[in-house]
Amino acid sequence: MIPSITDWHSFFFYLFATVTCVFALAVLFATNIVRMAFYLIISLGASAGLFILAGAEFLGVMQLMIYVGGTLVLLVFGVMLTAQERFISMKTRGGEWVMAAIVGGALLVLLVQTAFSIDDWTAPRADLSAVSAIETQTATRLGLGLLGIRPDQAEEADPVLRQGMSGYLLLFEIVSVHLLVVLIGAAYLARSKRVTSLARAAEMRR
Amino acid sequence: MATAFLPVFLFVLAGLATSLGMLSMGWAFGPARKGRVKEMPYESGMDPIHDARRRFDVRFHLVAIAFVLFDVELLFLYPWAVANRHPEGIDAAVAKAGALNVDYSRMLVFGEVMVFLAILALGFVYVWRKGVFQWR
Amino acid sequence: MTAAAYFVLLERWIAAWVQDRRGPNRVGIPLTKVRLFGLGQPLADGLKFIFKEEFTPAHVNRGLFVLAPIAILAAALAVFAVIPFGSVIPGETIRGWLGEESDRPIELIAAPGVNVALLYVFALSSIGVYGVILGGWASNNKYSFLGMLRSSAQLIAYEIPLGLGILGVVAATGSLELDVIIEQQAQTGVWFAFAQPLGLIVFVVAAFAEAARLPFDLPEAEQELIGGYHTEYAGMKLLLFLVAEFLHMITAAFLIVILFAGGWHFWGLTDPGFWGVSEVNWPIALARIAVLMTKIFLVILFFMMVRWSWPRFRFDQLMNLAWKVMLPLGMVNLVAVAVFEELRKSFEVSDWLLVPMAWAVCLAGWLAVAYAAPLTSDNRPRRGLQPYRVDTQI
Repeated sequence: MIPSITDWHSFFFYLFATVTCVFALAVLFATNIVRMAFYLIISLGASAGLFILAGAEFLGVMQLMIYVGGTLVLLVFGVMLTAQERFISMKTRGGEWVMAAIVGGALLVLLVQTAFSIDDWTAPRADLSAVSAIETQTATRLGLGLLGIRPDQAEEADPVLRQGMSGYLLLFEIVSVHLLVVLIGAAYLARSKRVTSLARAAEMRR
Repeated sequence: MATAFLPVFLFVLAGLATSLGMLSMGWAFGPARKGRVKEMPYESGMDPIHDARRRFDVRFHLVAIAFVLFDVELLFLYPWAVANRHPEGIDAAVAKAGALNVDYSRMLVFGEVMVFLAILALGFVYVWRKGVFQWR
Repeated sequence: MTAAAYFVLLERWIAAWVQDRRGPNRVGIPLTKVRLFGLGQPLADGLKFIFKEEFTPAHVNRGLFVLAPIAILAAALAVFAVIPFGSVIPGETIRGWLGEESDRPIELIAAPGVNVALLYVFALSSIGVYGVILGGWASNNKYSFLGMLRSSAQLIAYEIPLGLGILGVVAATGSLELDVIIEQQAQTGVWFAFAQPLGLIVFVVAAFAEAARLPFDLPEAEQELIGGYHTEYAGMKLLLFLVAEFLHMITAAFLIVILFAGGWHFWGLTDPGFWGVSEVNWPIALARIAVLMTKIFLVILFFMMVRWSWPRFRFDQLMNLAWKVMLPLGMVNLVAVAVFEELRKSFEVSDWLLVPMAWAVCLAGWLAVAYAAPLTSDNRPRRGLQPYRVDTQI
């Protein structure tokens, strides 16, 4: 028997979910920080697969690009910068475990409570064929939202409501200002380096 | 549901299987002869002095930071780029907005994106002047 | 994979031809005297790799050491899921054999309808960086470590111009699907190589750097770093790295052809209307595949010719090129594309009229770069500094 599409869907869901959880736990229990960073890569990569399965393809691929391909390269560089023999192994102490357990537990309770409070998520949809018909052009809709128009809200009957739904234009521009700020921060990080090399140059000229 | 992606996932699994299969083939058929000198790090015949994992220049970290920043910038530009000419994109939205009497036009969108790019270009010029890209 | 093996042979032939010597031309059919111009060479090479020792040195992190080549090859292979190998083939015949009712044409792509295909390719190429980082770090060898640092910095730095080049095409197509991008170029007849020459330059340079081809092959740089990040690798694991490298080049060639050179489109030849039929039939489908493959072959030939034509960049030159030349040029291209789109939509300027304007932008960009970085005979990175004093008393 050839497995149907829903079977494959479930198969990949369980695969990705297992990989995500197992490697998230591995990050927790590993003692070598390079290994930790590596487990984090796999965990985040598998969660990108979960996003894609949920229909948020753009988000999933962006998770791969930004988190797996970008942020974690930064993290791995940082880890390798510091990973000398002395720092390579990290052991969590008892007090830290307690603190982490309290914070993590509180977050988990909050998330679980929120997840179960949404009616649509607690019971399976009666009509599975309707689910597959979800609009998947997520990138286009995201783009319109960022540029200040919400296609879903433009069909709002009430004109007062319609005016309020101008999308995420402000956020879009704030993001660019935010990136500017971070760039300035990066320049600040580079500055000390530049000063020392100039100082060395001056020293050599003497 | 992302049914279009299922072959892609299968492809990823197949890629992993291929690599593993090739490795195990070499492992199965190749000889295994070990030696003390053979297991040392290769340094053109010299005896290695210390561990290879030393501190390295922070500039590499800086390159990574700059990369992440511009990557995020690209991330925010992709939705615009797609919506720009997609059949359900900006044109459709503008047409719909006209019918609904919402103030929205192509020039406005163009201006928004240009403002976004201009702020980033400002940051880029600033960082350049501050010498982040200077590789000394 | 087999294609990669034969491209190695092709590369060696071209290397021999450029250097005016005979390349591999002896291996033919075993036990006979038929040489077949050396066509048996890749098979023999592959067989040899299987019987090489699968050696793991004692000083490495064993898990990561084995995982690095797997990661890099799996990522390089998985890219091909969304890359079209042609256009469509008529569905009736094949679906008739399979006993299906539908007569929809079959798309020649492993996973049709992935609407973020281009981003997926891009994301996987950024995952390939991990093969390099893990391999170099796990090797615990100074050459590997240096090679890993250099190549990972190179790969991530050139991803930005690569993305900007892609972005220009996406803004002019409104889709991230590769077959839709080809379709659009086929409809207008204006390849993006003509419509966005600046984007093409930025993209090709970045693709060369991402594939670590010769003007940018710092990851290996045999003369400086022995083998770069795969110094400690041998046998099958080395083969995985090398195959992944060739696959990167093939992927880059596919992307260049699909994004900028019209994919399977060639004026008239691949157009059903030109032959007086209403939809794609078998000869046209085959012609499209042939056109695509020819273009890809030409691009790969170009890759190989460049290898023997240009000296390697120095690392500071490489970084300067990425951040100070390619990134601004990519942004200029993007702004130009946005303006052109505005002209097209709001003032109904035709596609062919925009082409000379795009070339003017390209020329301006080139002149600006030439003006900003004039020719110099002393291009040392620390030109302002005095050389170190060497103490001769010791």
